[in-house]
Amino acid sequence: MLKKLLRYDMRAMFRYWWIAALSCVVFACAGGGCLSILLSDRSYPFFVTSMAGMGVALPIFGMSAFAILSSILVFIRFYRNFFTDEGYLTFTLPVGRHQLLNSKLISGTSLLAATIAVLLPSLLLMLAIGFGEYVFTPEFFREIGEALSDMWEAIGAWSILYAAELILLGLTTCLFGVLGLSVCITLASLLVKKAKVITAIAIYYGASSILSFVMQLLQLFGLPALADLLAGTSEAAAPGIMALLLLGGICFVAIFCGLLYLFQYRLLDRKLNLA
Amino acid sequence: MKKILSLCLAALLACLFLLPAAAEEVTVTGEPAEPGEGMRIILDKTYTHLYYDDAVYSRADISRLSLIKESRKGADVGFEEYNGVEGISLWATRNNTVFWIDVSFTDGSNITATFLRDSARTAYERLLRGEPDKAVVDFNYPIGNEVNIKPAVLRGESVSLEEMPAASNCFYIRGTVGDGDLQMKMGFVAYLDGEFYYVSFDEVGDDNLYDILWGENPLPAYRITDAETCAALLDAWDAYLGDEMGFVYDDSLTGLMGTFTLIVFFCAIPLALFVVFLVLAIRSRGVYRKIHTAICTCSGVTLAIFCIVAIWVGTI
Repeated sequence: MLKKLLRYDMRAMFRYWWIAALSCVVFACAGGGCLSILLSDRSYPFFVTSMAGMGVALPIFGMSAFAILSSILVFIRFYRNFFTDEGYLTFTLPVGRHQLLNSKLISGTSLLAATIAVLLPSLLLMLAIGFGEYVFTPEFFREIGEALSDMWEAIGAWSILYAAELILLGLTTCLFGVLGLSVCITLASLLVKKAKVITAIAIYYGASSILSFVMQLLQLFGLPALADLLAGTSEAAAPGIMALLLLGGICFVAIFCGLLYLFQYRLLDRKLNLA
Repeated sequence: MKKILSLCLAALLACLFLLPAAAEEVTVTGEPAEPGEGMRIILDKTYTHLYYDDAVYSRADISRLSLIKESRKGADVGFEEYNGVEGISLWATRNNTVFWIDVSFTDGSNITATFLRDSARTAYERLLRGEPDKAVVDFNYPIGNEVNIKPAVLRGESVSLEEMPAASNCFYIRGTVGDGDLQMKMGFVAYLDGEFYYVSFDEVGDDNLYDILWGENPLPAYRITDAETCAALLDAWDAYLGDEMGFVYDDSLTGLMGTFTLIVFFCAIPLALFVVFLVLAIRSRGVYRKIHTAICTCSGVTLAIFCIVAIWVGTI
């Protein structure tokens, strides 16, 4: 049943998402073109250069809008499917609430991961078109190749492990983001009867502020302490410790994902009378 | 109104007719450098000499000096008809010891030249030899936090620094001669383990602070031993920190806070969660049990990783 739920959720979320993704890529190409006009030695008419100057801002807005839109899509799907009239239908389906929740979380996480997977190449595409002539030269690629081979020589197969861990960390962070959004909507539905969306946004804003404060604290004191820790290790042990620390980071984020999931599930299961 | 306009027009026409008459030399008439002081500069056609206020200036390479340029306004005006000169930009040091001239021609080319007052050449050479009249350590913050030092006390005890100081603990030192119009970065003063050290750019053979700090050690330096100078430097250092509580720049406290943060986030919280959710996992059933077990597992793994890393690093 989870497969069916996932199919419906994915279809609902990706229905508009691909248009935004395509627009983002097009904006990136257009922005890159504008950038290349601005950087070009050729003299263009004033109108063309001024339009190109404005056009450079296009991909920035486009990419920001795309990232925000992806979060809104997750938000809307969750809210509509659970807390509007559609919710009464959803909760009468012959599936457990955890499956409903899982479906939303998996599709939401996939959507955010796909958004990042589109955003990064779009940014690269823009830079490649804009600065291609100056930066992306054979010399540049040769140096990148040398740097990669040096890295491979230095840490070898550890780099594959690091890459896998970083991807996993990214996915866990996306899951945390989706869970955060869903908990805010659920809390808002629990607290107020009207203006649920506004309340959810307010809760999300408050929670984000607290989270950013905690992150600042970790950055200010935790990171230098970690750097000191790594600086004190031998060259042979450093890659292993680094891999362990990344794994620790993944588990740390996963703990909070678990806590949010528990909180969310409990709210859906016990507090809200939705069925 | 009409009279004023007529007068302005007449003055403009007079200027247009009079300026070509003096076209033997490129003459710059700028605004007064100081109130009440007129400024008339004559530049010879070969751009090798400049004349201002009875002083003769010769072209000189002053790239080693670190000088503050002050714009002389009005120098760009009215040169369209002069030997293909389109405009001239003019800067000088506060007391006009050095002039920068940027002459742009109608054909698109330009000349940038620097001129040093002939009477200041001896002082200039003395400065290049590393014999300034005064050395000034600039602590960057707050503005004007500078310490004047007698150059003789800089070279105290000769040492080799095995440990490189942090870039944030290094402050450029500039030598000045005469009225202070000629200045040159001669090195930097580094604060390390409660002592001040002087590093000379000439002796290191590099004038880039970061190249020196990231270069090979040991670094040849001089420990400043003069008590009076050390006290003045220490006062300026305290003012630079601007942190009487010694909170941010106290390495020991920062280190302690770092360790405390790591222990709280990666040890105390996971340990507490591990215990709580272990009990909950045993007592609960169904979906809740799975969730409790997952949180318990993640907490346990985080805790285990923290302990492994702590033991590993501790034993290395």
